[in-house]
Amino acid sequence: MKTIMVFCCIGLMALSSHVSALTLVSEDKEISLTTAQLVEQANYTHEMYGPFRRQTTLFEGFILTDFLKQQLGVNATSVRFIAFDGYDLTLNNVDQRKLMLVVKENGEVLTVRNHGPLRLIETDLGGHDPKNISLFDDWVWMIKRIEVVDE
Amino acid sequence: MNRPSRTLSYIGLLLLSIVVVFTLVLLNTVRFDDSLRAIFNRDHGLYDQAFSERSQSYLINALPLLKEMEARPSDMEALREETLTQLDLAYAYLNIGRYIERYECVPVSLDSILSIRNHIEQGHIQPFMYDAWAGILECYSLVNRNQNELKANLIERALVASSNNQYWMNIGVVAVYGLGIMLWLLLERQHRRGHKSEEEKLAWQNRAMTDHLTATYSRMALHESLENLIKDWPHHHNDSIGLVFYDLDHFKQFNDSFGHVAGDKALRDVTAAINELLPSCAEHFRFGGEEFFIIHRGQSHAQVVELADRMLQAVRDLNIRHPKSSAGILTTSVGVYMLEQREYSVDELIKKVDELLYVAKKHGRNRVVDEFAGEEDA
Repeated sequence: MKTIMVFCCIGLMALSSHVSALTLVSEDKEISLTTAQLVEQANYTHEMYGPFRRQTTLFEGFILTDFLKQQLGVNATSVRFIAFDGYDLTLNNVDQRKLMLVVKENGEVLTVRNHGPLRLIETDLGGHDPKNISLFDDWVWMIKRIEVVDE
Repeated sequence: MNRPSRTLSYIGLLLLSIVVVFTLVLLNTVRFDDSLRAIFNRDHGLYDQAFSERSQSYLINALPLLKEMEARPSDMEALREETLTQLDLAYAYLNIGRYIERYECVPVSLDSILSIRNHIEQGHIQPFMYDAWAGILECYSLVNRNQNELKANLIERALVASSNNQYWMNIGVVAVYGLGIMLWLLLERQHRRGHKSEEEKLAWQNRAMTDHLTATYSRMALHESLENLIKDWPHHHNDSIGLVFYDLDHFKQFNDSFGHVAGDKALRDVTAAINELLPSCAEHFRFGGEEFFIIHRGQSHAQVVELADRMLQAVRDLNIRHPKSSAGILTTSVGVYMLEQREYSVDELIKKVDELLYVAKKHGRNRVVDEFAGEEDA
């Protein structure tokens, strides 16, 4: 019985990696990506102090604008982020900020439990104290949907 | 040893007061800013409580879902998925670096949430993990209580800092007020001294410009007036200007006969009589001794000559006895010169009108000579 349960769990985990983790939307175009696809395509790393981890952290993922250009073929300036917990934020002038989409943290694939599967961070803190978490309001955890809302 | 100049003292005082004010403002701004930061800065962890409260909410959301799973086995999968989501969110909002550093119960609670999650994911509903749930809820209670205490401590510190700020601000206000009053008093004293000095200067100037015996202007004033006159002449003003030079005939003999006191009185009487004739636009100067000079502005040649004739008559009318005079009374001789449309020097002007006075003297005195009257006419 125990063996069957373990087998089922492994099966479910394997299946979950193919469940859509992120939906990208631009005008009439909509793309779904799994966590496995996101991890596989990650092409950018950045090391900095992680204010919510209280230690220097290696982030892996994408430059936001490059990622949207690659996936949707658009040069985005205004982008809406919707998170699993219902958080909804629209950022303007994203092309003028150093924003990164993170899929791995210190080599560990992000899940909801560690603020994934996709997290938005700002790599250029503009001289602000990274220990002051009040400066990280634009960091979005647990992103499940990204919409390009350029007019 | 030289005393520092007063100006330097004022500048020093002003700079000192500026430095004091600037320092106070800076000090209070920094201290007040620190007080505010203590309350509102998230780095101190005050706002972290929001994360733990959200985590607690998600965890509690899972409880009715568990009950539903028991009541509605047909919806088991959907309910399980929703329960797992709520537990994941509860985990995420408790999985904060500062909590993990500060509260020992947090890593244990995170493990407990994960354990409950795995238990449910594997299909186990019973038995309910009372110990795990109680530990997690107790941890939330501890985190929230400590965060509240932290908040209270920070607010208390801010109040103490604010009270200190207020004390030093009051001291500063009084100090700056005192400095301001001191500065004002010093400036006021300097202003009064300056004012007094200015008045004394004007009085001295007036004395230097006035002949005290005859109440006419002095020779110094004559030179100044003539210099001002020729400075703009004839380019910037072309009013008719007439110069009159007169002296009292045989005045040395008058003084020799009657003494200088009588001579001085005669001078006063003559100048007073002539002053009464002069229009307001004329200036009357004592050139020296018994010689006087008049500058007429805006009057024609005929008017100036007529006035000179009336001056002769006015002096005669004084009827001051003078045995050495051919008329038996004190008389005067007058030279009149009208400025032409060309440039002059002061000495040249005086020389021009003096020559005419000389002609009047030469031709018997007690008469007016102007530049249009030939020697024969005189």
